[in-house]
Parts: sequence; C-alpha cells; structure tokens
Amino acid sequence: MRLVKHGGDLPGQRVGQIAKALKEVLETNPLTPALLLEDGTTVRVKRVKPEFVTVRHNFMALYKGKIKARTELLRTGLAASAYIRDHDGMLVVNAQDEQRLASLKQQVAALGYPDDMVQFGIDDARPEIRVDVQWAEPLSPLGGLRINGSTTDANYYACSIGTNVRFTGTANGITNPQGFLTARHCTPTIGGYDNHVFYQVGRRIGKEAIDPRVISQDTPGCAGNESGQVSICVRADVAFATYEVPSNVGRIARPFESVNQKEVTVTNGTPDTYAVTAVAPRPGLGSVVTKVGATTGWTKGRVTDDHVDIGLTSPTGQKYVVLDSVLMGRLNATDTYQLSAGGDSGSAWFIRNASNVNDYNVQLAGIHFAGNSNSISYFSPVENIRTDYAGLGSFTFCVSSGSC
Amino acid sequence: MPQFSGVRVLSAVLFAASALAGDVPAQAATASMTPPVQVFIPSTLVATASGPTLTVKAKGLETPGRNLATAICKIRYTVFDRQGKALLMYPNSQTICAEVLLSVNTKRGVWQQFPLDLGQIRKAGLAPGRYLLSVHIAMSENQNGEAPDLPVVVSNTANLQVK
Repeated sequence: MRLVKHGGDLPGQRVGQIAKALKEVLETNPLTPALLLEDGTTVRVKRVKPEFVTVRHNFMALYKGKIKARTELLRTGLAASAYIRDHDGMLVVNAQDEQRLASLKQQVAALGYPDDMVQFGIDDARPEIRVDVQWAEPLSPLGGLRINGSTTDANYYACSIGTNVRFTGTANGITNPQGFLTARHCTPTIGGYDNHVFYQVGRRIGKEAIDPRVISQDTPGCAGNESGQVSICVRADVAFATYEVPSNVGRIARPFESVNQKEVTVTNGTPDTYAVTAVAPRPGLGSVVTKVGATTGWTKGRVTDDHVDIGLTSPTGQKYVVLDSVLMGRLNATDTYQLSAGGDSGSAWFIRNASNVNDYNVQLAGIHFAGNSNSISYFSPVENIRTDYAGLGSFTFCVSSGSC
Repeated sequence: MPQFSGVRVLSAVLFAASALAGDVPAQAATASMTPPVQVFIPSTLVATASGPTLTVKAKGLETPGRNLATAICKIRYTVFDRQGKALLMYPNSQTICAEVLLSVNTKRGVWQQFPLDLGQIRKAGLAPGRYLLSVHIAMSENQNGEAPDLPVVVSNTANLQVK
C-alpha cells in the first residue's frame, strides 16, 4: 500500500499506528475492494505496509478537481475521461483526439486548475453498442441488427437485417422506397404477403413489402412430379421490407473483426459500418466470405459449394426448397467457432478487400437463411435475388459512391 | 437429406422414455427444477412417408412469464423402441434448419404450438412397427444465444406406429 503525504516527516511509531488503523478499516469496511484469485476465492489483507510518497496536492483538492471535470469537461465532451492517478497524486484528463486536446487544455486553464495538478493525454475509448439490442434514435438501422416480428410472443421470428437497399419500383404504396432485405421465413408465409411488421428490438422500423411468388412452373422438380405432387421452390429465401425510419443504403454494421463479435463502436454518434460498393453475384468455390448476424455476430467462412438445393421447413410448418444456394464452411478444418445460428437468418454475407484490412468497402454476396447452428451455413446469392425479383423491380445495393 | 447415424441421446430423453405413459405432464431434464413450460403431444401418432406434421403444444407455467428463445433445430423428437432404446433423433446435428429464433412465452396458461415433420422417420428407413416418441425443446434465456441453455423440457411419451 502506498500513502501520500503532504509534507513533513512521520515517526516510526506513527507509521505503525497508521498501518494498524488501515488494516482494521480494510478488514471491516464492506466497500473494501476484494482481491479475487482466478478460482474465485477472495484474498484477505494480512499485513499493511505503508509507503509514503510526497505529492503536491492533497487528495481533497484532487477530488474537487475531478468533480469539476465531470460537469465542465466530460459532460461537454471536451474530455473523454478523467481520474486521479494515485501513485503520484495527479489529476489525469484525457481528450478523445489531438484536435480536442488543445481546446481541453485551454478550458482547463480557464477553470483555474493549478498548472501542476493536471496531466493531459489521449483516450480514444468510444461507446459500443451490440447488434442484438435496440438502436434507438438518432441511430439508424443497419445490416446485421436484430429484428423481430412482434413486441410480444406471436409472430416473434427473430432474425437479422441483411443490408439496406433502395427498391426501384413501387412497394407498400411507395415509389422507389428504401428498405432492407431479410429472409422470407422471417415472415409468416413463404411467397405470400403477410403485412408483417418488423421491430428492431421493440422499435417499429418497417413492414414487409415483397415476398415474391414461389416457383411452381417451368422449373424441373418444382412443377410437380408424376404423382402430381408440387414442391414449393424459391431461388432466394429473401424478402424485402420498407423502412418507416431513416436509413442508409448499402450500410452494414461493422463489429470488431473477430469471430462472434457483436459490439460496434460508435464515434460521435456514427457507428462503424461496412459500405457496399459492389456485388459478387455468386462467389466461387473457395471464396472467403464474411457475415454480420445478430446471433453469432461477425464470422467468416469459405464457399464449399455454390449450387446447392436445400429443403427447409418454415416456423409455420411450410415446406419449401431453396434452389442453387451457396454453401459455407468454416475457414479451416481445425476451426471450432459457430459460423451461424438461429436468429442469423436474413443477415448479409459479403467479401472484404483481402489486400487492405482497413478498406471497409465490401462486395455484397448474398443473404443468409439456413445452417446447422454449428459449422455449415447457406446463403442466397445476389444472382438469385435478382432473378426472384425480376419483373417486380430492381435493387440498388450500393452506397451512393458504389456501382450496384 | 438428414442423416441419423451417430444419434446423440440426451439423458433427459431417456428420463422421459422411462415414463412410457400416454399423457404424462412434461418433465425437465433436472428433476429438482421447475420447468418453465409443459410440452404436450398426442398420445398416439402414425408416421408415413409423407408425414404428418406433428403439432407440439407448449403451455407456460411461470408467473410472471418470460420470453425464452428457441430455434427450429432445437425442437426435436426422439424415437425409441419398446424397450426404451433411442433409435433416431430429428432434427439432429446434421440437419439444416432455417435459422430463425422462435419465442416461447412461459406465462402461466399461455399456449403456443410448433410444427415437427414426422415424415423424416420413414425417410430414415425405420421399419414399420410400433415405437415410442417424445419431443424435447431446448431454450435459452434470451435471444443473444449467450445465456446458458435452460434444462431441456421433454413432452409426454407417445405411442408411435410407423407405416
């Protein structure tokens, strides 16, 4: 334990008395911070050995300075953090960046802090928000965020927003509306309009607009077999919903890029995002593709097959076949992470710039819809989405600077 | 097509199989814990190559209720022979499911239902005859998928005839 004193010497007997009193306080005060070992056991204070350090300002002065910083510096945004550094008795005040540091120093001087009390620094810690919680105004919904069909249990269907798009055509009575893509089975009926309302964890954000008709003719295997049994087929398990809140086309939430991360940094009210600037209509075998979903967050996998028909059952029991889907596996055979799971349906798969990790412009590859909750995932490629929506309208997937 | 090799058998399922009764109320995997819901299926079932779709009913038991999360792949059935030996489970770890989360409202008296495809039993090659079947639902505390799974809740055991 290190104590600070404001000047003068203390006799040894006095030091012993201080140590004894401190030990008693540490043992009896419920607010004493506990030292916990890895196994969860608490270490009790056995001996207190004071060490004295001379400082310029006593604790009360430093504490008053910290309280003043709360109202005058932190609340105004000039400072990012402030704390008393115990070992040398300094008040440390940090700005978020160099630009703000100059203003911070001026304000600290104007507030009358002693010159030798404050040390300045940079603290770029920023707030983070998860993709599976509500993004209240003024934050706009982005690809990767949690959506569900109700604030109660009926029609719950928790899924993910894929990516924000603009639809060229008319949907929900709106001409060329902005909206988002998600999975068809995140609405009650595959291939039918349910007037399904979407909430972003309790905040109403939009409504189902187009769930294209299923294929029952002109496609082998979907037009009916010899016994007349017809399979419901779709080329893409993708529905379009219009937004009722402001949104940005081509924006997908960007968590910290590590497996299953879901926390997105917000800087000055703007969350980190990927920008869709191109599309990869059907990534080939071996392509490395990234996903941001509301359940398993950020994951990356490799295309193991690019034309798979997969039979599914919707939450309402409707059986259907998704044609020519892209099958994803984990990056390496030795990996054990969860590639996707329930609630990731609707999320976007996209391709990053492998040669520049700081380039967050991406190519949209498709929309996630199925998996084994472990090592296998399926998505509908952009090529199939376009085919399913042909004749209904077209999508702009890209941000304004993009080419799609 | 789903594979049934290497079926994992949950202890909770064996526990339910031991009941061998028609409409025994649902049991939790951990006997000392009160299950958040009861799960019911009809006491007699018939499986053919084309189905049918089994409607699983869950009834809330808690006050106040919670919204627990489950998924299509987490609502499963296991088929046993008459001696209680587990033969197959569907969906299993090989099954591909639509990855949507479903809510299970645990409020006392609230009923909800989930569909399950019994057609998979014949497709798996199970010989015609008489068997036993029970359904089990795994749930999580929330939709983040991070909270530990709750005990698996098992239905009553039904008599199953495979045609």
